[in-house]
Formats: sequence, C-alpha cells, structure tokens
Amino acid sequence: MKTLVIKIILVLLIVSGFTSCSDWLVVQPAGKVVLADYWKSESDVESVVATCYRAMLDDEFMRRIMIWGELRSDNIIAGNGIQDPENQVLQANIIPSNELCKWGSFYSVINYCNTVLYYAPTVIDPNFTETKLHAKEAEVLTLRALCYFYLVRVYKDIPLVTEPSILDTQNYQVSQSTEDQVLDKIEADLLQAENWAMVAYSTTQYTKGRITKNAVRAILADVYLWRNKYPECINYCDKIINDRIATEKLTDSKVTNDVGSTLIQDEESPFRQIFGQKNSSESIFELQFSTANKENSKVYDYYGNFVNNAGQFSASTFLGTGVYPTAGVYPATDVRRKDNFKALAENGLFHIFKYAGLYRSEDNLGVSSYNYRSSTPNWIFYRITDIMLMKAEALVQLDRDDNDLTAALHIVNTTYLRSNPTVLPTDSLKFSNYNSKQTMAELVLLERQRELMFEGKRWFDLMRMARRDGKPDKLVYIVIGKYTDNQTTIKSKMSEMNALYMPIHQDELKANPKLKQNPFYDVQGISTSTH
Amino acid sequence: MKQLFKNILIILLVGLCVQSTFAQTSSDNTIRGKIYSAADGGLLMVNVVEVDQNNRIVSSTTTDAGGNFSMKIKSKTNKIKVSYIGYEPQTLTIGDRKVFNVQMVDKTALKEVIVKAKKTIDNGNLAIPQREISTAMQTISSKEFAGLSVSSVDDALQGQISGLDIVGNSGDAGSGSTMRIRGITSINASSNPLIVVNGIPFETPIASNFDFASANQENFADLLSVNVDDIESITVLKDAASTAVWGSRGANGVISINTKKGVKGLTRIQYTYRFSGATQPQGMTMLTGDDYTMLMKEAYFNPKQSDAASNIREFNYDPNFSEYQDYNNNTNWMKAVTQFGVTNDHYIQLSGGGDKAKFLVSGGYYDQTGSIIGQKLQRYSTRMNLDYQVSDRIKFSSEFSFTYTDNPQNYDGLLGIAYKKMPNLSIYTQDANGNDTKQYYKMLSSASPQFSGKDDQMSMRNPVASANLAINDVKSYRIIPTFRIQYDLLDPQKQLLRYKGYVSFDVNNTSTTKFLPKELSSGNWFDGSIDLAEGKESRNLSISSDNNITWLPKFENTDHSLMLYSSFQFGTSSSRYQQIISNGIPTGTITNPTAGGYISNFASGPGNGRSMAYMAMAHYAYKSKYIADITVRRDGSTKYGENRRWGTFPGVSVAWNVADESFMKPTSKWLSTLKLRPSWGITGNQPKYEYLFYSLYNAYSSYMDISTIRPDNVQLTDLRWEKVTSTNYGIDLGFFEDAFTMDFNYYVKRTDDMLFEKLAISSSSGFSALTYQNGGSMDNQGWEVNFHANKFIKTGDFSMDFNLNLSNYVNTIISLKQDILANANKEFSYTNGTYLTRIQENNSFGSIYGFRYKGVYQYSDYVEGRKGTSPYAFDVDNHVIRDAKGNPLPMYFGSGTNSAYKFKGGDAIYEDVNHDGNINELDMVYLGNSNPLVNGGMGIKLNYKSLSVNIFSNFRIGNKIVNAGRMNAENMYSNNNQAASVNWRWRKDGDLTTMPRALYQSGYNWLGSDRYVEDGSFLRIKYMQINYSVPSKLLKRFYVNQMTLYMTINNLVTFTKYSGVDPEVGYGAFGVSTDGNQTPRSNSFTAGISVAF
Repeated sequence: MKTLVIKIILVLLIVSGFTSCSDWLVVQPAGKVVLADYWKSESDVESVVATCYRAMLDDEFMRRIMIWGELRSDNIIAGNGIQDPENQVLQANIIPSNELCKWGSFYSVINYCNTVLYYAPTVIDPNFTETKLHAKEAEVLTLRALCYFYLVRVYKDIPLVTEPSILDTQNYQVSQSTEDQVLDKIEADLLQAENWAMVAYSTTQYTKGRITKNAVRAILADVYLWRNKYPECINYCDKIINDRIATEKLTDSKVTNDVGSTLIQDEESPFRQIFGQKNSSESIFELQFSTANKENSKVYDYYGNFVNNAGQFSASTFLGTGVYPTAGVYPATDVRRKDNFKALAENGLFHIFKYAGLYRSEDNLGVSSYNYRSSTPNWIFYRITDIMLMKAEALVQLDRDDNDLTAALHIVNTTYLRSNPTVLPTDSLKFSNYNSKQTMAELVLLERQRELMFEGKRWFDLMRMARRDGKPDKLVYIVIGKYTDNQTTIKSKMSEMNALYMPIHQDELKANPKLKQNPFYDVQGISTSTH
Repeated sequence: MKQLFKNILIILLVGLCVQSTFAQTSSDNTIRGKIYSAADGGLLMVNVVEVDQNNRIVSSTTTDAGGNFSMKIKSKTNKIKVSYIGYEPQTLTIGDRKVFNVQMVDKTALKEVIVKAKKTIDNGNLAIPQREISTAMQTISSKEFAGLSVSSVDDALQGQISGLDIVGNSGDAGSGSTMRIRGITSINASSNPLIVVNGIPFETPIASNFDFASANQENFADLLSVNVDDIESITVLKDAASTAVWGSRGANGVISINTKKGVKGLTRIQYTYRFSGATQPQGMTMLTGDDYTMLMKEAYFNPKQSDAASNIREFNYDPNFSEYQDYNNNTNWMKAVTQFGVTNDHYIQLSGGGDKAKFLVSGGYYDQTGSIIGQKLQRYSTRMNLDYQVSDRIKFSSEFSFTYTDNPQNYDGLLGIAYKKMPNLSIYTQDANGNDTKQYYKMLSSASPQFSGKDDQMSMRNPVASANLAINDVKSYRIIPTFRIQYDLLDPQKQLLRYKGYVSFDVNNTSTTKFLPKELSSGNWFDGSIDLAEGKESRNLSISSDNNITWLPKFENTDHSLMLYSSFQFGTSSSRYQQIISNGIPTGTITNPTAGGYISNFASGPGNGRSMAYMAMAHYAYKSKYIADITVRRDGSTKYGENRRWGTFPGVSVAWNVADESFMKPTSKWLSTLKLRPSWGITGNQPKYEYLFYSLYNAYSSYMDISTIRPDNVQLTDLRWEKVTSTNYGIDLGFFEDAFTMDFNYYVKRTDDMLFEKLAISSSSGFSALTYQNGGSMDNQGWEVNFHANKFIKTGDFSMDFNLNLSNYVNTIISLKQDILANANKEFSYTNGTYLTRIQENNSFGSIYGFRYKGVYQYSDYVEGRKGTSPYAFDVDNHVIRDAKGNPLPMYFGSGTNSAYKFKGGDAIYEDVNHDGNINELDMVYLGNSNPLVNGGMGIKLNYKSLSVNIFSNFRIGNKIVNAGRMNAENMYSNNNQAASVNWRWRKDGDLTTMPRALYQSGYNWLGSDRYVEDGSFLRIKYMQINYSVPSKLLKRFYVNQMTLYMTINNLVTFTKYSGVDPEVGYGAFGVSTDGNQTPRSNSFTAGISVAF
C-alpha cells in the first residue's frame, strides 16, 4: 500500500513539477490551421483565392447585387411574400436601419482579397512561379475592384481598405475616401491586373467562372463608362470584341469581322444556352453555383422557382401589359419578352423567368411552355452583348459625328435582330428615326433594358444617365412608371442625386464614428444620445 | 513559487520513503490469549489486530469458539487492538508480553461522554471555525429543502441566500435558471457563478465553436446532474476575499456543494418517495374564434377602409369554402396544450461503515411529465462515496456519481404558439359535418397569402400536432469519478501537516435528436422543413487535479492559531461535437438524419483547453478574537495570448470578534456575537472560447471544384482578463446566546477591462465583430441582510423559527469605450413594440424609455367646443394649435421621417410632451427601471412535537417589467390571436375606451409606452410544507427507525399588481426585464414519505 502511495505521488510530482508551465498552457487548436502554419504552398494560395469567389456566392452578397442593381429600377415590383427590407427599398423608403444598407458581405470579399495580396508574395514554393503569383494577384485585384465598383456606385464615398485585417490592435475605424479616389484605385488595380491575368484556364467552366483578361477589361470598360471616359471605354470594349472575333474565327469559318456573326443564333432563343446551360460562349465572367457548393437561393427566392413560379419579385406590370412602342419595352416580335418573364398574368403579376427558368419551348401555335431548373443558375456579371451595348452607349455620348451614332445603331440592331428573328433585316431600326444624340441615347438605353433585363444592370444604366444629367429627374420619370400609388411620396424620396445612393447602415456609423452619412439621410439625425 | 512547491513535494516524498523502510523491520514473534466477557465467557469471532503507531493494521486474526487466538506479530513496538460488536474496543501494548487474556466491557456500561467541538465551515480548502470566518459566505443545510420536490439545486436555493438571485428561465421540464450572486459583474462574459462539488469545479467544457446564442436553455440545466437528495450542505461564497481561492473563475461568486458522506455505524437504509402534481397557472384569456374573426375583419378594413381588403375567405364563414369546417371553430389552444403534470421521485440511500471504511451509496429516479403536453424529464442518478482509513495518517476516498437524463422537450414553444394561433382553426381536420377526424389540421399552402409571412399563421405549427409528432429529445449522461488521498506527514495529534490530493474525471455526453415530420409543415415537398431531422452529439471529458498541503503549526501559546495552505491545480478538458441536419428524409417513420435526405448542415467542432493555478492561503487567529486571512492565486489559461496568459488574484480579510472583548462584558447578557469583518479581493473572468489569440484558417466550402479555406477571425493578441475588485464590509450579530442572529454585508465591486463578446467593429474590416474586446468599467454596490430567529417562541412542545433575508444592489457603468456605447444605444427605429434602452456612464442598467400613453382618440375630427379627444395638436394651455390658414394642426407621428403617420380617431394617444404636434423621440420619457429596490426571502417554521410547518416566501419590490406578452396580445396588428380585453376596442367615432382600434400592419398603436411597463413587485408564497415525523414508538414493531411524512404546496399564492402570468421575470439584454410569456412556474403540490431502517 505504501508503495502505491509513493507511486501516486511520484506521478503527480512528475505531472506537476517537471512539466514546464508554459508548455502546458500551449494548446494547438484541433481541426483548424493557424496562420503560422499557413501560406506555405501554391495550393494554400489557391484555396484562399477560391474563398474570394466563394464569398460572393453567399446570400447576403447576391442579395445586394440583385437589390442594388435591379430592384430599385423600373423593371421590378413586389411579387409574392416580399420581405420588409426589400419592400422598403422598393417603396423608395430606405432608412439607415434597413439591413440591405449593410455592406459587410462586400468587405468580407475585399478582406479575403487583401489577405491574398498580403501573404501570397511571402509563399516560398518552387512550383509557385512569379507568373503564377501574378495571375493569382490579378484575380483578387479584379475581384476587389469589382466589389469596390459596386460599393462606389451604390454609396458613393466609401472606406477604401487595402490591408488585410489580422490583429486586434489594428485600426479598423477607416474614414471614407471620395468617389474619385476609389475609382482611381479601381482603375489602377484593373490596369495592373490586365497585364497579369490569365487569358483562359484549363476548362471552360474555369474560364467563365474565374477572372480572365477579358473579365478585367469588361469591368474596366464599365468603370470608364461610369466615369464618362468614353474613348477608354470604347477601347476596352473593342479589345474584348476583337478578341472574341479572333477566337471565334479559329473554330467557325462563318465568322466575319462583325461581332454580330459570333453571337449565338438559336431557333427559339439564345436564352437556353446563355442562362439555361450556363457558361455559354457569350459569357465573360459568371459566378458558378452548384448544389455541392452553394445554391443560388436568392434567384430562387426573388425570381421564382420550379416549386413556386411566383417569386418575391415580379416583372413590372407595364412591361407585360403593353407592346412597344405604345407601351412596354418589347415589340410583339421580340422573343426576349417571352424569355424574360412569363407573359401569362397571374394575380396581375408577371413571373420572372430569366435565371429562374431552364428553357422555354414553343409549340406550333406559338404557345410557350416554361421549364424550370432546380436552384443553381449562375450569375452573369458580364457577357458580350453587355459589352457591345456599353460601346454603343459610349459612342452615343461621344457623338463625334454621325458615324458614332450609326455605329451605335448597328450594335443595337445586332442584338435587336437576333431576338426578333421574325423581323427581316431590312425592317431593322432605322437611323432616320434615331438621328439625334438624344434619341439614340434613349434607344441604346432601351435596348440595354431589353437585353439585360433582370441581370442587375438596369439601375446602374439609369444612374449613369442621371449622373450625366446631374439631376435625377429623368431617372425618376422612368422609375415612377412602375408605381400605382404613392407616386408623390416616392418622387420626393428620389428628389436629389444623393437620394439615389444608399444610406450607410446605422450600425456601421456606430461601429465607426469616422464615417459620414449620406447627407440626404442625415436630415432626421436628431440625436437621441443626448438624453 | 513553483520552486517552493517542488521542494515541499520532495520533502514529502523523502518522508514517505523513511516511513516505509521503517515499517518493514520486523521480528518473528507469536502471541496468544483468550478474549472473554464477564457475562458470556469466551467470545467467538472477536477481531484481534496488530496496528502500528499510525493505527495501520499490520496483521490480524479472529478468536475461535472458546475465545482463544494466536498470531504472529511483526514488531514488539506495535500494539494489539481487540474489538467486538457491542463491546468497548481495547488497545494493549505488546512489548515482551506473549499472553493476552482480555476481558471485554459492554459498551452500554460506559458513562455519557460530552464532546465539545467548534462548528467549522469548509469552503472546499480549509475547514475554518465558524466564529473565525472573516469573509462573506452563507451556508445552508440540506434540511432546509428536505421536503421539496425539485429537480435541481437552483430551484431549492431560490430565495434562501441573500444576494443570490435565481430566476427560472421558464417552467419547462428540464429547463435551467439564471443565477446571479451580487448582481451582474460582466455584461458579456458569463455571469453565472462557479459551482464546486466536493471541492471540485463542476463545469461543462464547451466546444470552441459552440453556438451560445441558441443554447440558452442549457444555462444551468447542468445542475440537473446533481441529485438534490445527495446534498449535505451548500455554501455560497460571495465576496472576493472568499472567492479569490478560485481566482479567475470566482468573479461571479461560488456555490460550493458538499454531498453526504457515510457515517460510522450500522448500515442504514433510507427510502424517500415524493409525488407531485402540477398545473399551469391561468394565463391571459384569449379571444374565441367568433370574436377573433370579427376583430380581424375590422383590422383589415380599418387601414384601407375597403371591404375588399377584409374579404379573406378564412374569416368569412362561407360554407362554399372548401376548408369551411376547419375555419369555423372556437378552439382554446391554451387548453389544448396544457395538462396536469405529474412527478414521481424515488430516492434510496444506504450508508454505514466501521473504523476503517465508511460508505454511502444512493440511487434516485425522477420522472416528470410537464404541465405542457409533450414535455418529459426522466433522470436516473447514483452516487457512491467511500472513505477508507488505511491508518490514522493515510486516508483514501473515492466518489463516483453517474447521472442519466432523458428530456424529451417540445419542438416548438407551444405556449407561445397557443397564444397566437388563430382560434377559429380546428385542431383536427374536420369532415363535411364538422366532426374531427384523426388527422391534425395544418394550414394549407394555398391559404390566403396574408398568412404566409414570416412567423405568421402559416408557419405556426399546430401545437398539438407538434407535441405529439415532432421529436426533440435531449439525452445526457455524466460520470464523475474522483479519487482522493490524504496523508499526514506528521502525527496529527502533535502537529498537522497534511498533504491532500485528488484526481477527478468528468465525462459528460449529450445527444440531441430532433425530427420534424412533414405532417407539420404547410410548405411543399421541396421546403427545407419537410421531414427535417437533426442529430447532435457532444462529448466532453475533463480532468482536474489538485495537490495541496495544509499546515497547522503548534504554538506554545495556544492563543495563537495559524493555518497555512498551499495548492497547485491543473486541469485539462477536451470536447467535441458533431451535428448533422438533413431534410426530405425518405419516409416519415425514419427520424435519423443519416437516412439519406438532403444534408443541409454538417458541423463538428473540437475544443481543447488547459488551465493551471498556484494558490496559497493563510488563516491567523489570536484568541479566536482577531482574525486575518490572506489568499493569493495565480492563474494560467490557454485562452490568452502569450503576454496575457497569467493573472494574479489576491484576497485579504480581517475579522474582529468584538463581543469577546472585556469591555463588552456589560452587554454580554444580550449581545452574544458582534463581529466586524472587512475584506478585499480581486477575482477574474475569462472568455468562453479557446484559441482566440490564434488567427485561424478554416475550411469554408468550395468554389467549382476548388476547395476553399479562409481566415476565420481577427487575432486577439491583446485580450486581458476581466478583473473584479471588490470590497466587503460585514457585521455579524447574535443576541441572547445566538437565539437571534443577524449579519449585514455592504459591498462595492468594480469590474475593469470588462469583456465584451461579439462587439461590432467597422465591417469595412471584413469582419462584423471581434470575438471579444476589453471595453470598460462597471460598479456594483449592494447590501445584504440576513436575520435568523431560532426557536424565539418556545412554549412547551411548541416552538417557532423565523428567518428573513433582504438584499439589493445598484449597478453603475463607470466608463465604456465610445463605440461600445454607440453600439449599445440604438436609435429610435420608429417602429412599434420597441423601447429605447440606454447605457450611459454613471447610470445603471435596466432603464426603460418610451412614450406616455394617454388612451385613445375618441373622434377623428376636431370640432370646436366638443368634448372628447381628437388627433390635433394642443399647446401648453390646452388650446388647439392652428396653422397659417387657421385650420387646426393635426397630430403626426414621426413627421419629417419616412414613417410619418397622421393620427386618426381610435388611434393611441401619446403625450405630446413638447407640444409640437409631432410624436417623435423628443416625446420619450423615462418610464422606470428593471432593477428592484429590494429582493429577498422570508421563512417561518412552526414546530409542535414532531409536526412542523414551514412556510417560505420570496419577494421583489420596486422593479418594472415590460409586459411584452400583453403587448403582443393587445396590439391588433397581425393575424395573431389577441387577448379577450381587445373586445373593448374603439370601433366607431365617439367610442370612449383605452383600447385602440384594430389596424392590420399599419398605424402606431403599440409604440413602446408606459401602457405596457408594469410594476413587477411581488410577494410569492413559494411553498408551504407540512412535515410529520411518526413517533418511533409506533415504528419499532415494523423495524423502522424513522418515518417522515410531508406535504408541500409550491407556488401557493402570489401577491402582485403585475397583470402577466408570472412576475418573476429574468433580466434581458441590458438589464431590462421583458416578459414574453415563457412557460411560467406551475402551481404544484408534493406529497412524500421518507422511511429509514
């Protein structure tokens, strides 16, 4: 018995006395990697780069892309079961407590990008060559620029963060940079990325789902257009267009020097390939959703789905009820009218079909039947017709002579005729009808709306117009058309340019006292904290 | 420090070696003899043992039928010990003696012996005489709650200890409670006190990424695994000087539980059975189906003034409607979900032992059926305590406890649903004649879209179906084996130098099974909630060990007494959980998430933590009159980064027994105790999670086929311990030989470097929050009074005891980081149902701000000279304000904001404090505070012969409660059912009432106002217990030693003005008590019997 006692005490002694205290208190987390052990190889970099894309699939990110780009425009009204925050945005009743004013999901992506930019150059791996490093840097520089481009278009002045957030001792209270500072940084980053980015990847899915040289150029063209730098915009649109013509020529002898000849021609519509089959040849950059990674639940909820064709959003009534030019935006012959939403009105609503659906087929009598997909449409950021119509817009604005306008009309006719297959080329849109800068600008705007409806573009198209005008009147005139009541109130809430930008969420203002609220939303700022 | 400790251990080790070599010397010697008694002659089977100096048995034998024995002895210096049942044991020296003829003396022949001992209090480390206690602690014996049928200790402790505020989270079977000793010291770190069972911290290790937000129920349900019947006594350590021994874990106070131990003597069997019945208290009376539909048609009509808006087929009683029979009922959902709850509680205990070994074995079975349908709690528990005295100087003990709990809970909050569910709906699907079928009715997805919103009627599951079909079963078992050793390095008779050590293991496994069958969901088959199954397993193992030395040096001058104690502790814990959630399980009969549905969530998380501490304590007393205690503890934790890993926590206390002074002689007749005891100490608090100082890279998901890894957190390199410095001033008083005792404590606690969890940082960082931040200081000032009157009335067989405790504290924010303040203080959101709360420096928590409610506008239009209210602005002199055109200025809400609204007749009147015709945040006023002025408990005990009656009540005075339950039941804003009181609502111009009109999703009739802020003061007779011990004369025939019968009525009556069901409401965010109609405490009775053999 006594020996047992000694043994027990000895064990305790060893455990307590001879184990160094500091060693005992170091516990490595199980099942997780710590920073010190990360950033050792190329695959470590690849995994975090993939995170940057993956974070964009998150519902909160997708939600904002759709709300900011589409819901505020004239394309959309409330569908079935729209939620409060969305409805408030829709009613132009945006208050700083609305959760849709939160921008955290964008800065999450930005922070992942910053992390890659900070650590990737420190990776020592013989396989990880400088070219590979630059290619990865180009990807994240571009994604970061894309996020900032969204933020600057939606909020105007925003904090510009380019360092990763690692330690609690860092200063996280960053004040806003001006719109121009942010746009300058975006431009600079994209120009750098253009040099470094890959032309294509090993598979089509990678080429469409990741950043390529053309994706960089597409964003750059968009940025130039936003900044009214039309020649630069045209230049970058042409880079993409010429590259496309060259690539397509290699495989298809019918391709001419006109980009129109490279467009997908489909018996019923190109819709099936672009949105149904995904990653079409027309696509430049699209976010890849799948059941394994992440379902596109925001499209599922907002635009509708195979279970419930009625989504929380509905196409605006005026789009469906009339036929262009007397009302609506589509002529009777336009297949996009049937592709973008179900013309059949239920409860007075028009169900959005683009993205939500897989394909539409038409019987001999011209009756469409709609086939839905599960829940994994991709989200297309840029496709070729967008680029073409960007160029058209830039040409119209430049308006150096009639050649610019004719060139713009030619582009419009290209996308228009493709979607109006029953119209003879000779019946195309005539220059005589659109021979002024004003009328041509309206036509391009209209064609962009027809072509890119529900793709998160419309609000920014209108914003560019309002920014050029320096006042929101025309934008308001267009948008107000979708409202049946409260028009006066809504008008008053869009009465000045600042009102077109979102307010900064009140929680952000509290967490970061250096932020300044958009003055339009600051009027009711009777501080309650002085009680 | 470390070196010193090592030295002590080495000395100890050397000492042991010397001991053992010494013991092994022996010589060959045989002795013999006869053991006899005067009455019986030679005695058979008498134990004859040879023991060494330490009373350790070296060899032994027994006598034969003639009482003869012989044995070989190991050493002449040892002693012979002779013992026999019923006789006095004898010890004889051996020396050269070979023959031992011993006459045994009958025990009963002995004279009465009077034993004098000081009552000591063991705080888990040192046993200190009660009169020398210099810190604030309070002990309660298990006798105080012997007859209660409670499932866990917190229930039994409620109201018994001053300064310990316990609020049951809800009356649901198996739910925990919130415990606060001396208020909230921390805003975001855990505020629950440390539980110590037999000197060992009783904690549940938590996986690092465990989601606390969804785990409120588990708060202190932990304590379920300690059977109340096993408890001997509970000591609550309240001030820092006493909790400093627990250092970083003691900041919220310590509840130290000691379990029963075996006592020497014949084996004693005790059996206790208790039966309880419980019913739900009567809550709000809700509308019937007929009243409800009438209300709803109004609510839909009013905002738009359109018949089309109120034309909803579910309210129309149209026989052509396919679901007509299912929507034409008067269902009382409350009645449908409540029942008579029954509890059976069995407990059996065996104890006994002899000189060498003592034991106690107990087993319990507790079976509860809740007063809400579908809730159950079954607990099997067993405990075994063994003490083995190897010699006078070595003692081993072992404790083993095992608890298994099976707690089928409700899948949904049934009571909550019952209050809201539309009452014209039927429970069961009805046939064309309106008869119930066997199928539960659920709202179809084709129901009117008005019901399909989030949390609206469609998503409210049929509560009866939910109780019977859905599964939410929590099973857990916990095994705690402990091994202890105690060794006296010196002869304890001369001087005590004692080593004690233990190793304790704690295995705690929990599994949760949930299943939601498709019969309960209105959604279609693709909906994520169809046949939704969830399984979660968590396993925890922690090991803790403590090695300590106690030294009581002997002084020539016995006026001095000194106790020294030092200890070294270390602990390690590991935990792991796995969770899988899937939906669309193939068939409704399989409820396992692995059965091949769509896996919607798969999570697992390991956790690992270690801790280490050194501690030293000294207790000094001079003549037991001047007393001083010092404690220092140094804690190391893996939760902090390298530079912040160690924390030092000191405690100092002194006491002066003034009554012992000679100058107090004149008063000694009546003043038997007067003790002053100031104390001071620092304790700490640590965050809940591990690995905070690492930057973690975690698998995320994947993009295309590339797996993704992302940085998960901001590295907390600078996180510090939350430190609580507290000063306590205490006085103990005793009158008339301590027949009346009283103690009073006043304390000030200052919390510095307060830990804030998940506090938002600028999201431009890419993160929404830092896991923890140190952010400011806070004070708690409070006082406690305890008063006991022991048998203060005594006439013949009748006596009466009385005790009362009162306490209160005030909480003050001293300083807070600016962004924390800004974050906590939300702007007024111009929405219904919200109150403004404010955290301000130099103010306390729990203040409520809102509008003043002034009734209902009687008319829509202003008519000069007409009596009655209308929604127009009035100036200070009560003259209507007119605009430039001379028209009266209408009253607006939130004018100039996006929420602007023009009041109409039937709308709520809010006082326009600044008379500007606009109700906005400038019209908000202070409406009260949730902190009580005083809370406490009071007990009266009446004894007559062996009958006793015990009445205990607890109370709280002066606190305000936001009655959110009533707010939701009277707002007439949604499709939820409403309280019957809304039948008094305003319906047409001229109606004079205080209940506004019904407005579906419109208007501002239920802004946070004093309409729902109520006085929460209450006095509750918590229980009345009648106890009767059957006289032993009657029992002897049945070989029963003792039999007690008792009867308890719990929650007998509550005196309160509060209109909700139960005024005992816990504190919500930032200290505001909000009563959201959780399951209130049920009314129950218990009848029990306890028999001992």
